[in-house]
Amino acid sequence: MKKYIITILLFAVTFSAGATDTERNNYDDIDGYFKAAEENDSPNINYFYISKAMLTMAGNSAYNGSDVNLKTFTDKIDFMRSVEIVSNKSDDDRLLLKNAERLATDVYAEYDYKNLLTTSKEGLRSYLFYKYGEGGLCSVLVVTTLKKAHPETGKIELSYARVLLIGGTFRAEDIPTLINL
Amino acid sequence: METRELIENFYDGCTTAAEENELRRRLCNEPLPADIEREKELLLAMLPAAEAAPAQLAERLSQLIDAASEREEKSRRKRVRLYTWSSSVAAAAVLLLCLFAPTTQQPRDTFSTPEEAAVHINEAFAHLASIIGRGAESQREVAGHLNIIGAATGNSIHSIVKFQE
Repeated sequence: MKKYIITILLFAVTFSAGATDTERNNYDDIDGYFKAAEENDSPNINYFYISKAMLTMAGNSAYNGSDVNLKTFTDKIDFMRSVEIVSNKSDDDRLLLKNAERLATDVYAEYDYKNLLTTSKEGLRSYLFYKYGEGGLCSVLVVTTLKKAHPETGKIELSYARVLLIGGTFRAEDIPTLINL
Repeated sequence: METRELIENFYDGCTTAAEENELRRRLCNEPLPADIEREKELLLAMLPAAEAAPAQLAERLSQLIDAASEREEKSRRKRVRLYTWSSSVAAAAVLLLCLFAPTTQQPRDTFSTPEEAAVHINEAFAHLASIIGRGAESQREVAGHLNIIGAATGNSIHSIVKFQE
């Protein structure tokens, strides 16, 4: 009896530990990427998540000086999530930078996002993706990366990335209107 | 042996167990003379209360009791094993559930005040606007280039047509 219990416990402990892939250990999908960024303590990574409740309160807040009609937009947004990596000094920074670039490829190839816009100039590349879900839901994913030459080695490398995900019940073509463009 | 003789022997303490049983039987089941009838109740009260169990019956009873006791003991041990096994399986299942239970937690709000959130929302929209603006500028550049190409192409065609004319 004791042997059976110990065997079960050993199996449980073994299966609960997962092997990590150093290449993609913090990214297996969009949520995984944001989660990895959220849990990262690097000072070069800026992460935020804003829920529907907070968006609604922000829209009603007394903040002035905004170019955006927040209240109009916050009615349609369900959440906003952002990661910004401003350096490539540490291994964590470089991994998130690399995965941000990979995300831009994967959302198009694997997650059925459509490319609304791509701009590229002097190493600064931006992608604007969107995807419609059931019930009129829409996700807009913005991926921006910057590649520039390393000051010492001269090698072109990723030095900045921003990933912004907005979800809600709006149409992708409403975005320019909503941000007063 | 006569009933009177049995009674005499009984009073004298000389009867065997079998004789006493016989005497009891006769007193209960057979017609008795009047004088013995008067003594019947007294004699029945004095005679031993029950028949002695046969030796085989005692042994059989003992065996039955032992068997019942053993069955009860086995059943008790079986119940104890079952409870032990069930509780072990339940404990292991709870442990596995705790380890493998999927977590579906919603992400937590980063900002504690709506004003702070509003600042970042505006910044995010500014970033989005800059991307769309760059896209529009690129389109204008491309459109401009196309106009130049179109104009050049148009002039060339015009020249060719004029030449052909």
